[in-house]
Amino acid sequence: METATNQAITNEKQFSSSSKILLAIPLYVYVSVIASMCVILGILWDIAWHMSIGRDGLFSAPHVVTYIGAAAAGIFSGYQVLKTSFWGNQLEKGKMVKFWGIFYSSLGGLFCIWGGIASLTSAPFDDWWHNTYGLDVQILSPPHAVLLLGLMSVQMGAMIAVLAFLNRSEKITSLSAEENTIRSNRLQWMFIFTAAFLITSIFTFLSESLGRWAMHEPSFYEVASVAFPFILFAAGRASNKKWGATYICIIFLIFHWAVNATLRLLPAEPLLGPIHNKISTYQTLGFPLLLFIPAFVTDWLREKFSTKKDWLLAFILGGAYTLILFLTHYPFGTFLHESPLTRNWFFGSNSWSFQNDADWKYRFKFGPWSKKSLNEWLIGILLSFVFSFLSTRIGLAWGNWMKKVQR
Amino acid sequence: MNFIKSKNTFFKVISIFFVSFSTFAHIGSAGVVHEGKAGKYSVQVYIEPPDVIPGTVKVSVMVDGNDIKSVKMSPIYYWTGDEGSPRSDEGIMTEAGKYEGKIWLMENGAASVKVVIEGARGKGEVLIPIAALSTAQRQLPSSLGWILAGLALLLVSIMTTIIGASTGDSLLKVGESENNSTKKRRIVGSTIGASFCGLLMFGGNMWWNAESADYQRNIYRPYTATSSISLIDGQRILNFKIDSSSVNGRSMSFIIPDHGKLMHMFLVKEGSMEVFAHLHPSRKDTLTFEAPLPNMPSGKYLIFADVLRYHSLQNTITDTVEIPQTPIVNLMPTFTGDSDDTFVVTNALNKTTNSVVDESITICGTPGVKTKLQDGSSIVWEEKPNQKLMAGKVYDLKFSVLTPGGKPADLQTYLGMMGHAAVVKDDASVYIHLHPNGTYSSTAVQVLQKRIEETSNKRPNLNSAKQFRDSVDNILAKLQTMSEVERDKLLMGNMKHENNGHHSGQVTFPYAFPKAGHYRVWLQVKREGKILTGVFDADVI
Repeated sequence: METATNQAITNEKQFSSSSKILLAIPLYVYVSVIASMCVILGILWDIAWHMSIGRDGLFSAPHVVTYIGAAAAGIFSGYQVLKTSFWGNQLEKGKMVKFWGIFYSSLGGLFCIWGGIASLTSAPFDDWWHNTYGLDVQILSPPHAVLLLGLMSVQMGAMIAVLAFLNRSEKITSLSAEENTIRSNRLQWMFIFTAAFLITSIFTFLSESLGRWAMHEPSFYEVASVAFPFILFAAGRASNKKWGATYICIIFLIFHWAVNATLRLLPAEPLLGPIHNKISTYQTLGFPLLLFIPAFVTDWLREKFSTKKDWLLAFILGGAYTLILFLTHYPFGTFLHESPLTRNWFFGSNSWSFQNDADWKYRFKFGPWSKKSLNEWLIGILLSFVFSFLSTRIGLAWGNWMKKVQR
Repeated sequence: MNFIKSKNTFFKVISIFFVSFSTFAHIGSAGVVHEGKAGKYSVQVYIEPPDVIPGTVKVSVMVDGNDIKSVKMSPIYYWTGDEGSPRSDEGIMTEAGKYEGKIWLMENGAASVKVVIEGARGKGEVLIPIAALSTAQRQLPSSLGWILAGLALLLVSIMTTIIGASTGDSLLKVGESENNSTKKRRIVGSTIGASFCGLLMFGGNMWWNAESADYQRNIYRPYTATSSISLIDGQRILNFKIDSSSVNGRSMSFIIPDHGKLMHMFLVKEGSMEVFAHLHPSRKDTLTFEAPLPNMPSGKYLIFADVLRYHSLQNTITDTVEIPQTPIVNLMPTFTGDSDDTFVVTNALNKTTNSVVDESITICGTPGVKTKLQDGSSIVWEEKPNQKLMAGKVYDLKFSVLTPGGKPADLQTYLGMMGHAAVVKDDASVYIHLHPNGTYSSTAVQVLQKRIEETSNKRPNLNSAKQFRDSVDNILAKLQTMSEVERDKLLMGNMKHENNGHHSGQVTFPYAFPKAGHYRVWLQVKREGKILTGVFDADVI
């Protein structure tokens, strides 16, 4: 899949000045990767804002970060479409998908444009929603879902934009061999980062079902068995790295933790009543999942059984994922939720919204609703294995597709 | 707040409910007006609570003088007290002496707005109870609906294109053209994409409906009641039974007296509004109230019954009842009802005649015109004659009572206030009980103030409904056995009497008519031991 790109001489001079930094990767790809990070950074900050300050407006700081991310990805991709469609040469058009008869865009760019428009659509919808059903009290509402789909589409766009370049494995004539290797490495890491940001989003949006308080319930394992394997195995496979999924999960862990841990150091004061929990610093989501452990095991298994058919591989990887997830997160749940050692800045288990009763009986212990019978556990875990198997199989197929994307 | 520690403490707590005398209960008149003193400042506060919770409250404060440094406002909920209140917001001066601000209410329940004024005259505070309740059910405006539908169509088109391209030419190598196989794959992909979008929208719509139904479940639903008339010894007895299906966890055991009465009931003759009665039914059991009717004309009546719950939330319970003719003319009724019950017959709304004969008719007044009262004294609504009042604007409804000799009358307190007024719109879509200090209950203020004085924010313990109810009934029974002088002495015991709105026979009620239409205002004052009712019609544009 190696193609050489011919640059016009006039272009090359212009190009060479920035080529050392950008390594012949178009600016919109970098912008979409940064946008991918901005949107989830904004969302994590916004959640902490709602847990700690409460009152916000259209242009609150976390909203601005999110808008900048979505708008930048949408605008840069939109500009790329117009530029290629109306002023692009055949070579440039040949790297794009054609749509609606006249337009040319990269597939990633289309995702980013969709994400930008969806985010825009959610604004008047959300405004009406608040006037009709009340101001923000929940993460998930239909207008928020439109926004979140938009933001995830931006992240997906970033991933695919990087992938197309990664898969084309172009040798850029204006770059040295060493620079071409760095370029290829950079693309791989950019891809890993975009996948990690996407996983952060998925985890964040499902945080109401995947919190530490849920780790002693079968539903946690069911949700986590649907939500993560498909993206982990797809991205792991497409990354072309042996420990691809492990890297993705480690970056997810560090990023999610770092954003929230930083926020926990910053002062914040509730501006809404009633205040049930007096606080003076940001309250945030809790410690992220230890997904890197099942990812590490499955990365190892993925290589060991690489010759097996995908159905069998899905059975092995999906099974191993759920088993390791359960073995690690059940005790980790006990530690995070009940141990006084986690009620600190590092683990953040004492982070508690001002709207919640500070003295709630089950703040630091599992409620009686968590107690499930053996039967419920057996059904729950069996379902988790089935979900995980299906999610993994879809992920492996999607990974194959990801490896083929060219434009 | 444990109401039921001992009989003594309970009596003390209960006694505060008797010493202030107003209700805020209303229908169709959401704005809350306060007028009075905040420290050394004269203020008028107009609060527009949201009709959807969580939502924002608009607060507008008019304050006298030009020595004001700041006007601050904050929400205080009954359940969390001032400890659970956020930092106050500073009002912005929009014109000389007028400060406006916005505060946020995040939960349903009994709440209040605290306004703090600072300036050269020191610090002044006022606490105004409000109800944080979702009452509105909005529809999507068609213009926004079309915009959203257009955007949805665009999003579906792009997503269909994306999935089509994902399976089609995005997999082609650079420079390669689309062939039949990729075309087919693109079409299959587009179909899957469109179906996926359809499913997503179907699921989204179901979710939206579920959220809407959830909101509906939490929307405020007033208590409802069923009224009937029974005849005992030839006397008509009104039986008012609150429907148990409308209680929804808001136990009627925990109602407290306001004005020294557990329930204030207004009967207004439907349509003509020519008969008005202000009764105080007694409690027969948790849900049933009873009142012997005075010798009022038969006909269909609207009922507005106000009750106050222990945490300061007021409720108006409405119904209609067909009152039959008295079969026997009973000169000495067996059942006398509450000693403060009153009724009055007037001309019909905006007419000079009435349908009732053989009654001593009080002719209804209009702004600027002196109207005779039942004892020969007279009353004037100090507005320009035939002046049109504007909807949504706060007015001081100012009335002057004159002796038969034309001098300013010396007014007495009636149920602890210098005056009471009831306002009803001709179509019964607006009803409110007003007092000189505003449109809310002073009892509610005292409940909230007591709550704020407590140092802990623990939830009040209300574990014995029966004990609570019995204690209230005992005190009410004791009050009934007292002479008027004794009762007034007890009720006025701890009260900081508000002189606001009463000066030389004048009484003033701040109020904003919520919408245009014909209104009737019944004003009740007490002079020389007699309760006098003045009736006025008002046109609001």
